[in-house]
Amino acid sequence: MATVSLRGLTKKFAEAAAVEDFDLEISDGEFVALLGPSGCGKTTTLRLIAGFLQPDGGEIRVGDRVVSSPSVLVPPERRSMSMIFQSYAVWPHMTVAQNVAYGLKFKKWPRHESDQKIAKALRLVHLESLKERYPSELSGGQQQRVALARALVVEP
Amino acid sequence: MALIALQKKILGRRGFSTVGGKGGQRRLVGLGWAKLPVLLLVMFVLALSVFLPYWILLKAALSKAWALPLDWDNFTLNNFSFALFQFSDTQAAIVNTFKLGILTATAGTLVATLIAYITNRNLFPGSRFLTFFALAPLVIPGVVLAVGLFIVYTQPPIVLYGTIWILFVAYLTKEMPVGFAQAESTFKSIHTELEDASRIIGANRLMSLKDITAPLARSGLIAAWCFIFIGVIRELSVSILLFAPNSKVVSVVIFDLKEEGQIGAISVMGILLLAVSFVIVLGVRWMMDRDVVATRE
Repeated sequence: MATVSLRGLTKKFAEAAAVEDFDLEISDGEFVALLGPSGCGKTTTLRLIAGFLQPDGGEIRVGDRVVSSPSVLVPPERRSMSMIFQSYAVWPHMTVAQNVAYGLKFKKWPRHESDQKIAKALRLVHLESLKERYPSELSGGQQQRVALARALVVEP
Repeated sequence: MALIALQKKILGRRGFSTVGGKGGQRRLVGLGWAKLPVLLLVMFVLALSVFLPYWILLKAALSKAWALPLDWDNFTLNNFSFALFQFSDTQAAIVNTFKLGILTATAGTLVATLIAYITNRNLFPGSRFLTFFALAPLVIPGVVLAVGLFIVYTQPPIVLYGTIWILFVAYLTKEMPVGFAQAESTFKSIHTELEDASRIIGANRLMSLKDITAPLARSGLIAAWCFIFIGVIRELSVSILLFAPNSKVVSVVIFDLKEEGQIGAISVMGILLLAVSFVIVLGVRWMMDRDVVATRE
């Protein structure tokens, strides 16, 4: 983990600024919550940090590395981050276990280690008994926990 | 054109997509005493529009004289042998029709998928305008389209008239709105966040397309293929103007036979088209059902 810092971050949709000149410093181990009314730019800020959007001004650094600026954009898959989406975005065509395991495909960890990590993540969110179910057979809260396990298992 | 713009205005501002996979639900409605009358009414409508025409087709195909009752004296398979073996155009026309059906459906699905994906995910600015181009053929009458293509492709630099390729271009244009509408609603139902979720934990764009989007879009896109295929094999308004002696298709042959008054042979060709369409539709239903089962086990 490292310090995440946003400096003068700006994002415009058409001409309306969704995020304007936003500064934030998140140190290692610190928890930060963004609060505000609907449409004030919380989601846009998160999507900027994750790399789904390119800023129109300012920059985002992780440690010393610039990951987002109007000229630089490290794609989301190379940022070693995780995110839980508003819609949870649990994949409906995979079981709970497959959902959680998917991210480990891209890590070069040995098989038994991956299996252990999946089991641990499922235990953490109390879903071990439901791991062969499909998302359509889960409640909203259970789906949210699948998304949580999926986000944690890759050790962001 | 104005109608398309209007539809975009009405629907376009609201976004909707399925995430959890709990979409539309069917509901049983208790009818009580009205059960029998309603059943009769439904059957009556079905009979007029479906059963009677099909029955007549089958009867005409199997009779010597199609206006007489079908009994053993009147029964014959001659219509089949005439239509399929003696009438010189039919075999080539059947081959052409299915060749064009498969080619157009495959190419059309690919193009429609590409356009639908680009417009749906807004991959570059102004991509929304592609929607207009994809839907525009809907408002152009087939005959007008055919005349336009005829004029363009009978003179250099590109001469396609006289080959099946001019039909291919025409069908592709004509069926594009159908394929596009199907592909678009498929992608609309797959929330962008499903893709984003795989990107953030390490999949690049191509991998998330392959692992997440493709499996979820598969049945919708297969349906698009079938809609185009069925549209092509029954097409007449464009074909009738663009065929050449060596590129006849089944619908044109049916038209020829009608000119000759060969009702029996027409029925045979009609049954052939119907049978193929049925098999395709049933195949799609079966595949979609299997898809649902796969997510429920």
